[in-house]
Amino acid sequence: MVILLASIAVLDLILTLLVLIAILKIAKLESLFRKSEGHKSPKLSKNFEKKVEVEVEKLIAAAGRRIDAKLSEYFQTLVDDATKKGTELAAFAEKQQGVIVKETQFLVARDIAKLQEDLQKYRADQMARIDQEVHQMVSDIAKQVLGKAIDVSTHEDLVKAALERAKKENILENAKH
Amino acid sequence: MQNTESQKVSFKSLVDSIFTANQLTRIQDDIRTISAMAFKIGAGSLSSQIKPKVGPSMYLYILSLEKENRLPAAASLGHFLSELAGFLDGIDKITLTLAFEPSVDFQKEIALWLEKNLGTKVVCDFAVAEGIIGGLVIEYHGKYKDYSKAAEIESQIRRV
Repeated sequence: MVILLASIAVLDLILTLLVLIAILKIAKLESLFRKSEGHKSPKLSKNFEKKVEVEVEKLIAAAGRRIDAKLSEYFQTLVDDATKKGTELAAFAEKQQGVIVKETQFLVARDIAKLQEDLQKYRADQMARIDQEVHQMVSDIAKQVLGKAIDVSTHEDLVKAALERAKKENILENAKH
Repeated sequence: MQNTESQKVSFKSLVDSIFTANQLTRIQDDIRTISAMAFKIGAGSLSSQIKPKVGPSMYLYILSLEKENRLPAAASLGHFLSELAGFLDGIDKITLTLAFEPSVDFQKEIALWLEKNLGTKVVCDFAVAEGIIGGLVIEYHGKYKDYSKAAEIESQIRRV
């Protein structure tokens, strides 16, 4: 944008110079015309004025064409720059988007993994707790039912059987022997 | 004072009547009681003087020694009691936890079975814990083994 404004200012300056040159040329011609005014007819003077006007218009038209050409050139440069910058910006945005997507994917994956791990641990803890409670309940019930169901004779048989097992497993080995 | 062999026989008749740790403790208490009385023995037999102060096993033991004329003289009585106490201190003890209160006969049967299988005199320290359901828990010479039905049930449940 700054370049464009500077270019316009330069063109304005050039145009002003051209106009000044044209004015100087006209002034020079008028001076010549005044010098020869006394010797020339009014018709000749009029022809000369017309020629001057034509010359000035030609000069102004030529200057306008040059200015238009320059302006077109500058605008084209500006458009090319804008296009280039736009392309670069798009590429940068795309690259950044890729980075953000990857980073987000990583963070989400990490969070999911952590969540899964926490859930697994929670599940295992709860299962272990339930398992323990169920075992305790079954054990308590079995003890209550069996404890009441066993008569003295059976108790005595169980004790004798246990002693035989202890003997086989050498639990009753005498340390003194 | 009787000779050593006859003393051992005399000990045996007392020791054979002991099956439980509680009985052994009572006999040991009785020995301390008689030892304390030994210096104050007055008229009458020793058995008659100790009768109200000791348990029936000790009373009958002293009585039998008197009847058999094997009780040491008053001067040797302290030594005899000291040797008896030392012998009793050396008896093995085995702790058995049962799920029911064992009868005296059953206690005796278990003690004799253990004595036979261990090859030495033992006394049983019976404890009752209904929670073990059945079977027994043994503690002997620092070894501990749970042969209870409760332990079996726990084991079965863990396998399920």
